[in-house]
Amino acid sequence: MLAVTSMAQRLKHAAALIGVTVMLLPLVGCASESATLKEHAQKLRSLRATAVSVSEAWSAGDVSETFARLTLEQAFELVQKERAAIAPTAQDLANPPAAALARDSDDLERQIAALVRRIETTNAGTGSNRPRLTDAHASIQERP
Amino acid sequence: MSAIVDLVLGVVTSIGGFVEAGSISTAAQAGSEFSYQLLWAIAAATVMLAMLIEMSGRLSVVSRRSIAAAVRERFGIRFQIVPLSAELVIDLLLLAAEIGGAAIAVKLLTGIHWPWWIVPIGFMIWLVLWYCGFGVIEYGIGLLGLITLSFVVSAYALHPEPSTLLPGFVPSMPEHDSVRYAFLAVSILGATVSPYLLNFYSSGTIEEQMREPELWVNRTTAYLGMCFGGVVSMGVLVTSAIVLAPQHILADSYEQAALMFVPVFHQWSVALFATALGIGCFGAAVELSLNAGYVGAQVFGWSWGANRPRRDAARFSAAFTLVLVAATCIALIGFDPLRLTLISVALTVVIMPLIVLPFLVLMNDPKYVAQHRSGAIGNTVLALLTVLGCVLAVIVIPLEILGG
Repeated sequence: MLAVTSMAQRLKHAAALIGVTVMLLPLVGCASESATLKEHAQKLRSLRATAVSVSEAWSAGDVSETFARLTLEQAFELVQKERAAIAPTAQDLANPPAAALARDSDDLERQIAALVRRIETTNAGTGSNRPRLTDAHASIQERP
Repeated sequence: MSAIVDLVLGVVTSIGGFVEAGSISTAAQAGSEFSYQLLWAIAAATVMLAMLIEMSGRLSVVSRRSIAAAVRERFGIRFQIVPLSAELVIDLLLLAAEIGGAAIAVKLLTGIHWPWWIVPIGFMIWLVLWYCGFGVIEYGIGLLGLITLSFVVSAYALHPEPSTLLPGFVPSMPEHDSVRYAFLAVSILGATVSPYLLNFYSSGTIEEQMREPELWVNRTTAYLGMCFGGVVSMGVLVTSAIVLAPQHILADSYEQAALMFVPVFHQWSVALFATALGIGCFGAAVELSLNAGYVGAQVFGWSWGANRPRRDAARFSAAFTLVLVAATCIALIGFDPLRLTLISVALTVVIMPLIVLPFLVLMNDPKYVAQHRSGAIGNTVLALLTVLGCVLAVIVIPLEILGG
């Protein structure tokens, strides 16, 4: 009789443990989801800063057109990868913070593409169009 | 007089040969993400490397055997097959990463996509190995590598604040991303204390025919050379912390890392960074390939030596050629060289006990080191650091990979 009671108690404990675990799982999921989004946001901030820094360096004549273009093209590819990882499914995109971050990455993609275009079309030899490039990356800098 | 020339050359080339893909990428990332907070990891890893290098030189000077040959003799092939295989796999990955790093350096200079440079660079490494003797390989590449001192120059020119710099030499917990912090600490350890360096150095002392009366040269070269080399690595971290961290630029690619030179070197920044990276990676790739030949020949009892005519050491030459071809093929697959470097150096720490612990046993065996045995404190510190590093690596590598 005592053994049966003890077994029932153990089962009760196990059920309670499973219940708590099941209740906590979504919380863990949320925490990890927000941590992942934070990581993506950090990467995007880094890529934005890279685009600003390289275009400033190019404007100042510190780096060549080739290097500036290569770095921006690479940043563009990395932003695309981040964008794909932020919200790979429609469900993910329904999450407001993920949607906001996805919009940010779309904007950044367009801005980097514009910078690449301007560098390509600028006559690097005279550097006459370099101040205009500064205007272009100012819009990138404004983002938080 | 000859000993002093050897000493100066040894120290200078140790400085020039210290920095390669692993140390540049880990230090740049550490600086950009945690400012000066991981300086202690470079300092600790450098002291550990200096101790191990000094021991490996002492072992081969006294016993006239390299580490690989001595381990084989002392523990037998059945034991050695495990660390040997592990080291071979890691060395292959590291070699592929170094070839990739050199290819990216050429890309930074030319703008031509890096995979196109993999095969030409692999072939150039083979040409150096085939036609150059040990002196040219060690001193030539080491002297060219002095260009990496530009990291120290840039750090100095940026005037780091001593009150914020010095606390970095004391381990402390980060305010954010503890797993990433631990992963980078482990990676710095693995990038600095590469197991291949130990056997390469011990084989080098045999190639140079160093004798017991010159043990002081070995000791001074190891400690001075490695410590000054560590300063170059710290130069990378400090420059990255001052230039990249405030702009929130993470050094996730070599292109981003190259931006750290802009405030100091201006129009020379990319050329200097690319040259330093290229020479560092090329030198490390030559040493890794040559060491593969050394290890193969020493374990299986073949004739070996970079100074021997290649036909007199045919299997040794075949071994380094084979490993170089395999690594070139891995590099051609197209893995991001920087990521490959980070993973390889972190895995290095996992296998480190397999390499270091048997070596410490040898360093206390009078049959190999006679009266030149290591002290109890040095043995304990090295064994503890090795095991601690391994445990930490086993914990943080999966967490880092799972965390993306």
